[in-house]
Amino acid sequence: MRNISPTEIEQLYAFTKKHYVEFYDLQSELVDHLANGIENQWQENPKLDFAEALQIEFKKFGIFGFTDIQEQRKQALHKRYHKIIWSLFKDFFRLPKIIATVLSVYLVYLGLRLFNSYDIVLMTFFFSSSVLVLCFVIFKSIQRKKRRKAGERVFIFNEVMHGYGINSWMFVLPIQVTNMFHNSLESTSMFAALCWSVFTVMMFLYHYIVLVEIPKKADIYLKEVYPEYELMQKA
Amino acid sequence: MSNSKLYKGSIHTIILKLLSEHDKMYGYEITQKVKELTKGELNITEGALYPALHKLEADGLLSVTAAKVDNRVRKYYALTEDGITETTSRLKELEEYLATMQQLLYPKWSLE
Repeated sequence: MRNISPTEIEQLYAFTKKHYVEFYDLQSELVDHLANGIENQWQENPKLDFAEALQIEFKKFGIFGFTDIQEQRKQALHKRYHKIIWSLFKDFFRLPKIIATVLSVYLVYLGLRLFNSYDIVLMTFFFSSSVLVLCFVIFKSIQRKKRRKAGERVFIFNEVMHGYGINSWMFVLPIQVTNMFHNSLESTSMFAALCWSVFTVMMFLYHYIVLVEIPKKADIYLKEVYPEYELMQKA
Repeated sequence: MSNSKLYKGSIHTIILKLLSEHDKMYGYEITQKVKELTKGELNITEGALYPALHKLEADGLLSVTAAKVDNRVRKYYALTEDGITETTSRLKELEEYLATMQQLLYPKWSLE
């Protein structure tokens, strides 16, 4: 039986890249599929040209080729990323971390109660921290791009984790919410201070998880998401 | 004749059913079996099958293992515990749906 050669495997990788599949994990899965399809065709017709066999297999993916597969895969991994964030977030409400969470809420509460009006303090705090987070993300992104070597294998989930779950809501929401309660008659009450303390700590926890905790454990998560990760590193 | 609307949504159930009958399967194997099972009635492309597989994996219904085969890395899919439960549930739903449709198409009249 005629089998795909290592050179032809490289050609398959180049083919997937040419058809807009940027990520090594997905390229590998598609390469295996295409290789199987071609070998299957060679069982019937061993003299069939590799390029011709490849085109026959590629046509089976439909008019959109690999595009939909990549988009759906990215969405599926974003979903998995959000599950990880939620799981880590819940840990802050279990022992022993809940102690730190409650203490943080109390400290923020005490801090807010020093002021007559919370909205200016909170607006200033949220605006400054949004600017700091944005600078951090831009800096890290530039650092990653510089460190990335030519031909480095890029995995979708690695890109998702180092995208830090950045959404515009992370920056806009705290300021919008503060603005909503601006000049409210109730804005200086103990209850308001408690609510703002909880909100502030929740926002801090979210930022801490996406900016620090998940990137620190990136390798662990990569191996969880990609059982094939170590095999691929050696390939 | 286009029948894709009737089959829409069944792909996940078909994949789950297939995997319930096998220990583990890889992508190409699954796509070939789906085509074989649906006997060409369902015009399903690989472009639609892989997203279905990835979604089931993201939902925690499938687990993944890998092995080096020939010159490449092969990804195998298998049902998780949740996947086994979900398969039973979906097949039951499909059976009930078919029974309802059967009744609609061929009603059994009774004086009772």
